[in-house]
Amino acid sequence: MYSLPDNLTEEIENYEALISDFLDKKIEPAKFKATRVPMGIYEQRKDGTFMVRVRCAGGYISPSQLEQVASIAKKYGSELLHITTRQEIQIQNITLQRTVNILKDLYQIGLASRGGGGNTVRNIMASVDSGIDPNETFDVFPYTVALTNKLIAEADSWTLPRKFKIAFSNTEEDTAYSTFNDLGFIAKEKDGVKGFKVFIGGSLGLKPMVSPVLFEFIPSGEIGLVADAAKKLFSRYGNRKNKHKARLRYVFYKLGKGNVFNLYQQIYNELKNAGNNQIIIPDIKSTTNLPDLKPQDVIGSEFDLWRKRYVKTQKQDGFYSIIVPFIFGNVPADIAHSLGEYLRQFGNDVIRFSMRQNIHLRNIPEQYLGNIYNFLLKTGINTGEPLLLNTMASCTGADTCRLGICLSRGALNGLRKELAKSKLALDELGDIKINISGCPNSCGQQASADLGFYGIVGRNDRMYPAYEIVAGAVQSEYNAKLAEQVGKISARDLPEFTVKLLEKYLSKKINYKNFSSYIASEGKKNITDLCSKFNNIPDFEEDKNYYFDWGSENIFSLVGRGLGECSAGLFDLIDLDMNSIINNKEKILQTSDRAAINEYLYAIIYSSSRMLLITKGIEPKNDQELFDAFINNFIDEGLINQEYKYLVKKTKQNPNDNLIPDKDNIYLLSDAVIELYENMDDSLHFKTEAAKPVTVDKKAEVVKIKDFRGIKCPLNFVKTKIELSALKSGDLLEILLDDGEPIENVPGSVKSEGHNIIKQDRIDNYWSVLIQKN
Amino acid sequence: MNFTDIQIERYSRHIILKDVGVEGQIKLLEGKVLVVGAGGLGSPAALYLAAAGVGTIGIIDNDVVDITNLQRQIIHTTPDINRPKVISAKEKIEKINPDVKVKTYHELLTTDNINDIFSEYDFILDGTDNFPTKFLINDACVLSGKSFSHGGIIKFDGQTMTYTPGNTCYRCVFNSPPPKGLVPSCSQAGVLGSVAGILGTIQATEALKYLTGIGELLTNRFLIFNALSMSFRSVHFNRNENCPVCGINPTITELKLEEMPVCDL
Repeated sequence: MYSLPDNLTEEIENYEALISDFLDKKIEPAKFKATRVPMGIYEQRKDGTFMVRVRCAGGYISPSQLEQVASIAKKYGSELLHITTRQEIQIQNITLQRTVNILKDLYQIGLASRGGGGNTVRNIMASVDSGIDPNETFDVFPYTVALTNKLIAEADSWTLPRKFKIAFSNTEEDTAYSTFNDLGFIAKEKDGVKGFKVFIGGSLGLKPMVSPVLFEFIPSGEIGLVADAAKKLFSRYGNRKNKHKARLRYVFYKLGKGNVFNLYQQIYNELKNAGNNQIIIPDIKSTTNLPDLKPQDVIGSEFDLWRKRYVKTQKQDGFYSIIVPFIFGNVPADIAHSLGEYLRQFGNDVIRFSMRQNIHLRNIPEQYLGNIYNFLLKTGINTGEPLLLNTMASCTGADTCRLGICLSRGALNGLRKELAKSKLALDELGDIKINISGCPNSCGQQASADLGFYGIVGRNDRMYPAYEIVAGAVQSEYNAKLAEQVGKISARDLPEFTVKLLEKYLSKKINYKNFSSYIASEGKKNITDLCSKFNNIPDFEEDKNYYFDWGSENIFSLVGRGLGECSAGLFDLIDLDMNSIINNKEKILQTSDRAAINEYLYAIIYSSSRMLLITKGIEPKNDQELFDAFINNFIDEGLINQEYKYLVKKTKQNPNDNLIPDKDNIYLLSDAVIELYENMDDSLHFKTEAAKPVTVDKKAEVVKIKDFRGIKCPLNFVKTKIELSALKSGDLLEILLDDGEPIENVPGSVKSEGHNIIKQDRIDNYWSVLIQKN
Repeated sequence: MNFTDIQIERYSRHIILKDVGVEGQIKLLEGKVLVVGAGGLGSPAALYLAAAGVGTIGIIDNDVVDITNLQRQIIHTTPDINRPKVISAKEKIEKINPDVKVKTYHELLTTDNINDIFSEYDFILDGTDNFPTKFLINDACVLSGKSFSHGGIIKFDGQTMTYTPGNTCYRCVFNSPPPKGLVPSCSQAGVLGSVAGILGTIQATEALKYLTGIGELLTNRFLIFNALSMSFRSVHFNRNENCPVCGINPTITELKLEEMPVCDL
């Protein structure tokens, strides 16, 4: 429906040349990726497997386009299409070489993937029922297409600090999540003039934000100007250095709303004065055909139930819209092909992809509902389940995403089964939005859900898959609200927890307008209470199920998690280890159990060693490799002081060794790694300022031996310092220390003052420590 | 100098600190700090300086302890009422730390005695309650090249800055005392007792940092806090070239007390 920009063929040729350069190793992988991702081509979790994300403005695709997309997919070896939460369709599981053929073939049918990923203007969303919704202000779809046409033809739409998301809503219920997008338009009419209320700055993800109102009303002819100014604002003030803090909302966090609005107004005025802001709103003629089919009458309770669940009236008399559910948005290419082929006879405006990853049919004359029903049955599409089971959404999760922590799809499957098997009145719950994300990123859009989950690593003695629970998002142009964090649950218990919660809600539903008002009232407390019943995670030996993620036959681990396609994810991974370091330090403070402390110390060394490997593109397959990689790439490269090498080596060789005497050094090592990370620049390079390796000055001699046995901490250290203060740099001091607390503390403290510990040896029940003064 | 075993134990928590250590503790023991005013600010400051082992602490105050002082002047106790503040303070300091030598001045700080007294100290801690004396301390320090900590409190607010030669002085920011009556004194406006503790303790910290030479002093900036919102702000002030005492063309070249004190707290 949108118009392809003139230079697209050239860009596809460019991309083709880059692929061969990349395969010939003539260009850096990172450089290639910088072109590939903005082209809408992502690498999947499995190495060498790619997907192409096809732009579908407002979720629109014509039946013949769908048919052909399916043909293209099959032609290049993909059996699977996928509907995204931004109303696009993806061709998955293809090889890199074939992506370029796909781009060329898509071009022939008027579709493009440019801007599917990277720091670009992403697919522009529109309310899925726009144009047919009896309650809408007006149809926003033509504006969605108009803005798409404009923006994808502008070069600066591809070179933004981070992704830029736009949405159009047709009603004040904000059915397209306008207030959760970087730029949102909600249809308004003022004195008979069509226009929009405009929102700016919102987005989900870490530290999410609901957009504030930028304009109460702009006439519809200004959308191009308004979007242009927003894009320029973002381009000028967005943080290009730290992708972690690059989305437009961070400009608001940094400068404050008032300042951002002032800056916006300046840019807006500049552009307005410069003129030439006209945007062409396409006159979209949707053809609705009466097909050459004999209407089929279907009689029976199953059909009636289907109609009740999946079929809605339109504002156009006699026409209906139908939800065709696809679990996880997965559409087998064959089914997509048949759908497209079959639907062609109903006209070109029959299909929309929904944000809940289903296909919505529209403009179906009433007399053909039976035909559609029979066709769906024949095609093998699920028509007999309550709507709720098919509107729950998840991101792809650790199945294919390199950032995934949990198998969100597996969890959703588990939840579907649990709900189906429950006796709950699911048809009463059809409007509840349940979303699951495999990691703290927001691809599963959990922050906009009634009930959302995002994957985290749970930990007791070992790791287990777990989820943070969020609830109570409100979509509205007046009081939009993100789902707030309300508890934690193991992946294992997620389905049972949800069923129990919904059961509770059903019993109280009559008192509430909807689920979010229930959450705003007593729901939150109900969740907390419910969570406390699930917070005992059995030990591995007691119930191994907790340590396997849904649908996985392997014990839960993060192996395979890697450098994200969205580089923001990289920082999440690093943060994961950084948080593990911090958490383990906290745990150490809370216990005196030496075995536990030893384990936490091990976890700190482990996380410290792993934390930055990802910046070097290293994904170790096991612990041995992990420690080796850290030594080779960080210690031997001089990024981390040599003096920690023994520690990492020792840990690698004997993971069960007593680490308590090395506690201070372990802390220092983790501090050094974190400091290194803080000094990392945008291209993942480190300031190389690690201290020079320690070398013992051959000429130095032991100047003094001091016996500090029998002296308690910290006085032994105080005395050591006093002795050292009298020495000159390079001199050696040997001290004798008791076993236990003294040997566990004093050497590390001495080292933290910049002196070197040359060696420490156990002699019977005490220790000799040789110190060289710095 | 050599520490006695008792000193090693007494100051062990300082010596352990990497930035203080043996050397820093020696500097403290050799340091000399004058606390001007044994009141709300001077009380906590003197206690911490004493505990830290600042070798010589001078205290100047002309007043006796009044029952209204005890709500915040924590170096004094109920039995001290009607006794000179300097005596009361000296006794407490000596009990806390016999290492400290206390010199007392039971008199007003004036243009006549200020230079003589200041010359005996490394650092001056301004715990006064009136503007004329604050300006006098500033001018004396600027003209004689001495460092000091300024502090002021009222109601729930406090402010402090540290002057060292060459940096922004109190007059760079405040040209002269406010007109009489514009800024209420503590006896008129009141003050939350612990606010005095917070600010006096910050001033003591500045003195300890100055003596040991560690960290960054509050030079060229004011630390301003409000206890109700418990918010701390640090506001930068550059030197003022029109400053009447340290500017390019200074008009104050000799000391004079601008006005009689308005408050007897």
